[in-house]
Amino acid sequence: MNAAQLVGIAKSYGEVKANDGVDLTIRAGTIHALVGENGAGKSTAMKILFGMVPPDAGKILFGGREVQGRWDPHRAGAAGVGMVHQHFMLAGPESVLDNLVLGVEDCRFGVRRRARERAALEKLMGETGLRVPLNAPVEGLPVGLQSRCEILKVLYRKARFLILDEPTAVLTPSETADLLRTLRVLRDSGHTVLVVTHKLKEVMDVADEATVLRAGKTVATRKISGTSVEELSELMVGRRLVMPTRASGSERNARSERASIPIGSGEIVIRAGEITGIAGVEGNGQEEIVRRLVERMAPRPASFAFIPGDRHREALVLPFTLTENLRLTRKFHPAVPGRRLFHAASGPERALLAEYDVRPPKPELAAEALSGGNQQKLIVARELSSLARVPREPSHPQGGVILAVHPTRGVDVGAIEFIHSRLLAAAESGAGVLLISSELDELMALSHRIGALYRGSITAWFEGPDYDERKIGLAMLGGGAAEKKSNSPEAPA
Amino acid sequence: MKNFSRMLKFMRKPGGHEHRTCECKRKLLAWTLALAAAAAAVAAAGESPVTVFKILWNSAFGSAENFSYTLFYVTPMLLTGAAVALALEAGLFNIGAEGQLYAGALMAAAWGALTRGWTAAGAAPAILAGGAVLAFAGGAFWGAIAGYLRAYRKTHEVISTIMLNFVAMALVNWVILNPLKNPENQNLETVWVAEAARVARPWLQMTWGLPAALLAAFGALWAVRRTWLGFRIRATGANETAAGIAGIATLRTELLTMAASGGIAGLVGFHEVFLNSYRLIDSFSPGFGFTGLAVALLARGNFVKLVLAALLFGALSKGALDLDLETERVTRDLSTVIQAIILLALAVTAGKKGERG
Repeated sequence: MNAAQLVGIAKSYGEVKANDGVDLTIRAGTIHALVGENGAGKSTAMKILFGMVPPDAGKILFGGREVQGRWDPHRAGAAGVGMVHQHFMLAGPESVLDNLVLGVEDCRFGVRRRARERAALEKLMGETGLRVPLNAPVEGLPVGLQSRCEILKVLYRKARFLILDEPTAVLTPSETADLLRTLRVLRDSGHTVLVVTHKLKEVMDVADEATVLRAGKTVATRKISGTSVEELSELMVGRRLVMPTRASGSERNARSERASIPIGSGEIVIRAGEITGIAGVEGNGQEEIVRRLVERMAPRPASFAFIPGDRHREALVLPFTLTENLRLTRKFHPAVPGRRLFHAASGPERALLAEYDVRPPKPELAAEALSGGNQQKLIVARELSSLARVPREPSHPQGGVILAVHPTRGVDVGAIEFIHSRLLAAAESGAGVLLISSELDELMALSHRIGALYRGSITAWFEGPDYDERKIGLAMLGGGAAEKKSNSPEAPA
Repeated sequence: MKNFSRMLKFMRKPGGHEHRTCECKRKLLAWTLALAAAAAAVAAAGESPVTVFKILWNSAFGSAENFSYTLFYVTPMLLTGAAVALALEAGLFNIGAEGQLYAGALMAAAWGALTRGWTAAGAAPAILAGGAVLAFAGGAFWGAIAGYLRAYRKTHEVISTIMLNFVAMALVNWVILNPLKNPENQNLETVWVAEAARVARPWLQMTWGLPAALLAAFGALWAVRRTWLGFRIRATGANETAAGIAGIATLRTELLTMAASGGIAGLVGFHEVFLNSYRLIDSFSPGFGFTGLAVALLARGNFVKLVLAALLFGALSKGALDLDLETERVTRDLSTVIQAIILLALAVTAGKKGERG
């Protein structure tokens, strides 16, 4: 039996066809993955299913019956559909209990019956095995528990059909494993789960079926048992992907030092032509590293490229056009002849958008209209292109320093491939790259060296190209003997 | 005309054309609401709304004399409107235009008193230029205080500008009563400026300030859209964190913007002292700084809308004068009520959070 179905869904925003023939059939009691690149129409399809956006054409079916009249989140909620948003909808300083019941409080004569609420929640936690501390304020919880709160919230509202939007985007590997386990438990207790994601490894791990969207259309639905990561990514992108990996760097003692950052009792040395990776669970001192390097680079020289971790807050001015966002740092670039006036016309920017494959490549579009992956490409375009124009001064013979923080977070595989290849190319042409990431795969594919960060210091350095994932994972959690505290070339490897 | 509209194209904000029709409807609704509410208020006070609106209209536009008087009111509103609009672009809410225009007037009056004896042939242009520069500097200094507090001492500009308003007004009071007092009479006013520097009115009540204010307002809004400095101001206002990381000195930009905003407001003082009264009269401003806030909010950074908003509020201010004389039950306060209703109606119908007009 089908829990829900979308048939021939179409939805346009202005000229942009977000959905243009989406078919999606979700069988009851399964975990269904909806995958696709950023901008493929996943979010739109999901919003239509949940009633947040009305479709221009097509049918929505629930429990085999077509939805009549206006479909909105209230009706969806009444029909047992619950949505777990990518960005948590929690009131930080309030207790977990208050957050979970917010909007559906158990009241009599306007007075909350907290004991009954608590009992109901305890029962729910017992049934599902999802435990959270009910009295703690939400903002103090680790992200993994917050995401668990979001799931409990929809379950408390009697949802039988859960929609999860990029649920693992901000989770650590162990939290992710936890969440996937939770999803299996939910499925086994009769819930239906739709996961919107682009992390194919997780899809293979947890889903029963996957539907692939590309350019607003459904291209395929596959049983997980009969497919592979390679096939799914090929379907998503429409071509074979070649994930770039660095060439093995050998003569690294000859490379000149670009910058060094004291951290804990050791230091991180960034060398020209190399990518230095920092692995660590979030909150172990990544921010401190970023802060120190950025402070060292202030006032910001043109030879410093910075891809911040939070693109909306730190990198982009969302209501500004693509042109304006590309020019945000450029004025401070000595190699650009100082144009007195700011013009809306944008020849060089158009070329840059094309070069970095930002879609749609319309300079006059507001940055907020782009999908996450394309916003990230826009930032990479701005930062790396200004680096490319740095004159080769004697003090900086080959390019500058690049600080990339979670450069591919929330970005689809096609964009990941692209951003990775750009970072590698920049390193090859002489830039010193510091890559901070929570994705071990990414670090291992790109870095010449990986430092494991734990509680504010580097507990161990690992030399590429052949990494032992287990050892790095251990060092990230504080285990494993410190191999050496510094990665300066003087110290014996 | 076509060229003109192309010239003004830069005033339009990028993107957001999809909601145009919807927005038109919303605006129409807002204005209808405002008018209906105002009419209801008049009726509740026991006057015929039609009569009252007729009085307002006649008083503002009924004759050349009346219209020129309206234009006289429009002049300071253009300046304060542009001043507030400029600060808004940097994400700063300048409630202090009133204090800044008094600070500008103080400097202008002091300069006028100082140059009172200048009678040489070329003195007039020098006096006027000096007065304009000093009025701008006075307002800029007053704005810069709030800008400094905001940028480097993390004091919210809304609080500091409100407080500075009181300080500026008290300071002007003192100056009028003490060092600059006009010894020839008992009026609360400063000494008159040199005769040569008293710029005559070009048309009835209208002053030369109108074209000058139009130019200044246009220049300010043009600079925000079209210069790198303006780009930095807008970036700081739209996302201070990202702008700072991108290398823009956001704190300095905030200070600078507040200073420029205050300077533009300070020009109202120059207008008063050299183009209108030829002296500084106590409480000469009936709240031009606060009306400027309303004008800027209506204009949303668009020059044409700024002019229209200033005209609207100028007409309401002028029209209010005759309400006292020609009606029995409503006073000029009704005009203030109408202004407030218009703002409220537009705010209520401005649309969802995050949508821009």
